[in-house]
Amino acid sequence: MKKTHGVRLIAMLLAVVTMLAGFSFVVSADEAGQGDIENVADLTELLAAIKYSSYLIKHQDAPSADQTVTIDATAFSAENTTAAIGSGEEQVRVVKYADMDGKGNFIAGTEKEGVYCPANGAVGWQINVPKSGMYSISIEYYPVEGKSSSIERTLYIDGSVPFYEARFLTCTKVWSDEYSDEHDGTRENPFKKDINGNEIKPGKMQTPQWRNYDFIDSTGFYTDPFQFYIEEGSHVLQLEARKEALAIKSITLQPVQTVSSYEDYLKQYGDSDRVSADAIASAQPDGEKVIKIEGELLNQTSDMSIYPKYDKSSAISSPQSSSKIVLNSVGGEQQWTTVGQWASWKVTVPKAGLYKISLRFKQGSSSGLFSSRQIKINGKIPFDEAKYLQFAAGDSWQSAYLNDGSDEHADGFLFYLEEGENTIEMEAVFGNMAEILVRLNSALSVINSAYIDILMITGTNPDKDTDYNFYKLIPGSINNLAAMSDELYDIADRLAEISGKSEDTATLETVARLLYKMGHREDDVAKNLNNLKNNIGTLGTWIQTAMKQPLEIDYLQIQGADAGKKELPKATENIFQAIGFELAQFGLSFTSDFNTLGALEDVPEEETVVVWTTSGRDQAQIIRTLANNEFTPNTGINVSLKLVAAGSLLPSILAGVGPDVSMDTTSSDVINWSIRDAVIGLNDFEGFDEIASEFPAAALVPLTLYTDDIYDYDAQENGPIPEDKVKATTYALPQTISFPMMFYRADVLHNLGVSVPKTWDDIYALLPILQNNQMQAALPVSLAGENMFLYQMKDSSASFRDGLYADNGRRVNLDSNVALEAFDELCSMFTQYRLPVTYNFENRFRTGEIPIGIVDYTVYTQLSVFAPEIKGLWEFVPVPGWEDENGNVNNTAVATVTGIIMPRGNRTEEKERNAWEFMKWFVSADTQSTYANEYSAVLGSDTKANTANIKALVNLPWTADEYTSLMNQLNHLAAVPEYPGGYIITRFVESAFMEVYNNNASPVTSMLNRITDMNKEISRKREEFDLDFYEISHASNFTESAE
Amino acid sequence: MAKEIAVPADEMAGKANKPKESKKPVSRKDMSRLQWTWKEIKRNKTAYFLVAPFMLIFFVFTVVPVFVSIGLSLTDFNMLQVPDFVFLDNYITLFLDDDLFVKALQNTLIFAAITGPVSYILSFVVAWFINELPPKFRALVTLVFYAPSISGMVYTIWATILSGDSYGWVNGFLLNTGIIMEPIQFFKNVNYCMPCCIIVALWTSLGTAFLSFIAGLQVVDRSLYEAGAVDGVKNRWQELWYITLPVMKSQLMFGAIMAITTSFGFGAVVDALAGNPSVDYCAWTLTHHLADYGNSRFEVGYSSAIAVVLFALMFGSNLLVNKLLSKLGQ
Repeated sequence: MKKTHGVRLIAMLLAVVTMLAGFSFVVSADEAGQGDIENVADLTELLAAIKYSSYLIKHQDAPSADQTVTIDATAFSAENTTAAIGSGEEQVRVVKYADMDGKGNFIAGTEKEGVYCPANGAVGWQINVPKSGMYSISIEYYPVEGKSSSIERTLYIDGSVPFYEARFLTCTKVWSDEYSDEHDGTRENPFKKDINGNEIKPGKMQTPQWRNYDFIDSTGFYTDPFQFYIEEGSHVLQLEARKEALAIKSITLQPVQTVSSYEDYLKQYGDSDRVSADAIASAQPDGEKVIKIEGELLNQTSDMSIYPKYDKSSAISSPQSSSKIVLNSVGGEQQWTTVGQWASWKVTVPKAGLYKISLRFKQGSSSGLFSSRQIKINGKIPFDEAKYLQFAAGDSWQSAYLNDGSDEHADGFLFYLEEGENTIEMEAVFGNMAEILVRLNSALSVINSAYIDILMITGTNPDKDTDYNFYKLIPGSINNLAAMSDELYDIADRLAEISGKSEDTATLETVARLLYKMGHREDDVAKNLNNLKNNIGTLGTWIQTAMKQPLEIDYLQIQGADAGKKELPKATENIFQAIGFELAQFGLSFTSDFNTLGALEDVPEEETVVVWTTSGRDQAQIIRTLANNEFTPNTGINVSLKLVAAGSLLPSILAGVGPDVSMDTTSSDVINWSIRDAVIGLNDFEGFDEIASEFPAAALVPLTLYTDDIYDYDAQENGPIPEDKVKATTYALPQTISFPMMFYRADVLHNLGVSVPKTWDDIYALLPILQNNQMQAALPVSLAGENMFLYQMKDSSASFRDGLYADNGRRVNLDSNVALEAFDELCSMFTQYRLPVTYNFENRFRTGEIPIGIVDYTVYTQLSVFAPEIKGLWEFVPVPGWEDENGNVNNTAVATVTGIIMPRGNRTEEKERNAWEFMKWFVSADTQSTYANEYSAVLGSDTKANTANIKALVNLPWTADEYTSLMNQLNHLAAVPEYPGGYIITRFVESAFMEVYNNNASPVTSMLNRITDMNKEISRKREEFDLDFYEISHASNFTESAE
Repeated sequence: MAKEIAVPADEMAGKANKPKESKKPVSRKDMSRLQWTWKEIKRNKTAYFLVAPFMLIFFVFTVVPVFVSIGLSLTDFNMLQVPDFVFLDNYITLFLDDDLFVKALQNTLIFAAITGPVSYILSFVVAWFINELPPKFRALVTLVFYAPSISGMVYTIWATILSGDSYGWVNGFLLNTGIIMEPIQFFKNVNYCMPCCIIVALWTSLGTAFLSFIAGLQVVDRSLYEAGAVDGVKNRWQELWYITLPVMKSQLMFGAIMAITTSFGFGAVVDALAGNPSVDYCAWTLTHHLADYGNSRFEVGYSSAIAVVLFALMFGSNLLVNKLLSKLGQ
């Protein structure tokens, strides 16, 4: 017993000492890093920023305002404006804008003057407030045509952001579908059709209009507009750009507006205002008792991702066809699910009065929960309850009158519609879930930071039997766990009240139970750490699901005020309809030609450019639509796009039945095939140089074959190969590009008190701190790691081709001093700091075990989609580099690309030109931008296509910070050219690296041992292609004896 | 004529394959050999007709490629351009100047020598034990043993079990128990890679051979054992050696061929677990070497030469096993 106590005491002492050591590290790191803490400083400010809920409490005694102040936005104050002022394109200036109609024409008489606020910098206004109080702020704005993302602004009042949420004020754009020319407002012929009569998804265009926007929470957690406490006197309002440009006409400060309740709303109208079903029937030419509005016939939407879709799940969806694709619904599990997104429809009613609105809809994805919408009639929320319309979950189609889920209003609300045309706008909101989600989200962040605190003490594999003494070391965090347990139980009860007890409440209670254990019994903390980690993930995923507000609408109906349950639209088909429909579909599937899906003209194969792609079906469909809508009409060249399995290109070239253009080819394939004369060189085609300039210079390097005419070359005697002797032939146009960037968890670095590393020295300083806190960093291994260091360290005066190779590909350059140094550097990271070699970055990043890592920038998409619980807590920046004497950091990263090629084949010169035109068109900035936008629209707004076209890449909806980082890295890219025999290098470098890692071998020896083997293979390959090669020792012996 | 009609059906099938060796039903003195063959073919045309689809496919997709491959092995063919005839150059390089080939051959032989016999014997022993179980239970146990090989790529589970990540099962366990301090890179470490691959291969090896053994064991006539007991068989081993094994010789042969082909053609397991190529070529086998030259280096001629060597190896070991099996029961 005594002994145990003694051991404990010593252990505790040791722990304290270690902790202190850790602190001293933190302190020193903090001092060292001062001055260049930009991102972390920003984040610290964010973390410390007051939340709106606290802001309200702080100002709860403030009086409500009773006056309205409107200022003309065109009279902006120049001294408070940081954006460039002038008359130029992207400068702050007063401009006249007119509304646009659904066909893209300006509507006469709608011009208004506003101040143009560009996508960079802030615009400020002076404002005089007559009386202190709580004001809500609204603006009249014009969403100037721009990128696909919504407009985001940060509000500053007198130079500071009043509360956290005011950083992300988001106002939407206005999008319209591009209908066919025959469209007359009815369901007759609104969409373009392909040769088989299938309706084609319409394109989207921005049709900006002057709109009003009340400053409101963009995440949807607060359903009422923000209230700002503004004191009497003169103030400065500033709107700083985060995303996109807009024009503002006026800014209004007004007392907080309340919307009347449904009861009061009804009191405004008498019984005579209720329009009966019969009255509708008598006013309509066809005598129908309902006015039907097809969901797919949208008026406007807030996002380009809300578009008409086809539903084949029900035989009675309207309209429906078993043989053709008919667009018949809007929304669904992926689109129109994010809070703030809206869609609107136009409806004409015969007379003014109260109507019911019914809906045929499907909401199958958020099971157990309801989905919410808020409705605006002619731009106004009619009554308070209209903010909380609910749509219950169900597996099949349902129908209902619009209601808020309460028993009282179960048979639907009445809405007052004007005679003639009305606009019905439905916006995704959290409705009654808002409160729960706010609380859950803040609970999650508390739990997350407590988890990281524990993790820093125990590491990822806590010992069950060790007494870590959490109560002494991190009493706050442990208390938080206990508090969050109560909070979660409370939330679960609240949820049960709203939507009944379900598996969802059970999920919350499970987590609450675990937290209770961990918060109340010290012994259970370490034991349950892994459990906690999993539960944080579960909770994050649950919140993400609950935050989605999926709803698919088949059609809406305006019905009489007297309509009852019986008059509801039919929700599901009967069994015979269902069987008949399925059978017909099955039968017709044998005759449908899926290859011509979306083709507008029936053209024989000989005259079309045949394009193969190995991408996904969705991507292929996007490309097909783009080609049909833009390429073919403009050039008259027909394109037939085929989706093929990976690996089918080579056999087809062999068989002579290859395509005219093939996409998604890796750089090594491009060079392997081109050196065997199976791909056509592109340099001589018209317009090659112009298109090549649209990519980062590095992108073309791996797609280019570098040869020279020098034979029996002796490097020692002749020095480097003269540039003018090198022949460069490019065989592919870059399609996608990827390169490493550094991702970091800002919250973890903030906790550790360190700045974001900019140089490798910073990384070396950071690694021990991380390890003291049981964390790791992720670095690329083997050749990727070697290349990263090598291309940063190599002599900047050397040719871009030299680096991994020397003498224009005649030998590998890994035995040069700089390469060996680079390899030594890489290996020491892994041997001295024992960084992990095998790991799942996304997983460990989300749990905070690896709070910093250099990985491909496309991980951005995975993290956005896959780790919602750390949203906003991480960022990506350029890779670290070496600092030279002048303080410049060389943060070069090595890029890899895929390309689009023209395989050799029997084709006429004209066809070859056509194929080239297609290639050029496809990789051009406009096409790639549209492609990337459509890609995000179909696959979710967080997915970003990794296009190689710089303009298109930066045109994606990045935030200002992300944009800066990305541009910075794009300007510092290198690439390794492909030479014959290159595959051998990857293998031997990995072998050398693993030998060092596993057996602690000397990096230099391991590498040098393999140089001969690599060079031998390179020489062998070069000989095969009749290129100049070096005789490598024992290889040459054999060649002589064999001959 | 009467004799012709009397030819039994199974004999007809036999004739279909080897008409020349058929017994002499009609006098063939008055016609040439060719005429006689043609006459026989015409007589058995139904049989030829029935066997034709299979023969056609077998010939085009198995026999022809073997000869094409032998032919290509004498050329320098890069798949995209016309091949050059280089005679035995490929073989000379292969045997005299390809270090990697030697390593591949060595690995293949080690692998074949371990997994071939072990999996073969294991299959038989397990089948033998299972055969003793009551029928319902037997079906269940058979499924359990057969499952790994029936489910295709299921061996990728070992990538999780033996993952080099600290969250790999084995590494996780070893780390938790404090036996190791940092994860072992099972498939990225020259010392562990090959043994791990062999273990996984053995795990998946209870395949078709194993099933045929169970089937074979069940067809052994019970009366033979009784007869054996009368004739002086003293124990189960004698029973096995003198009765069971000789009776199920054809199943054993089948199993042996399966074992040889799988153990020589071992490669997919390594690819899936250790990557291609494995670190320092530590688990590099002939199939890898062959695929590497064929697919990554576009040297089909050379690749064909490797294939021919592999073919010869398999063929040779088949003959050997055949010899060994004929010794059963003696």
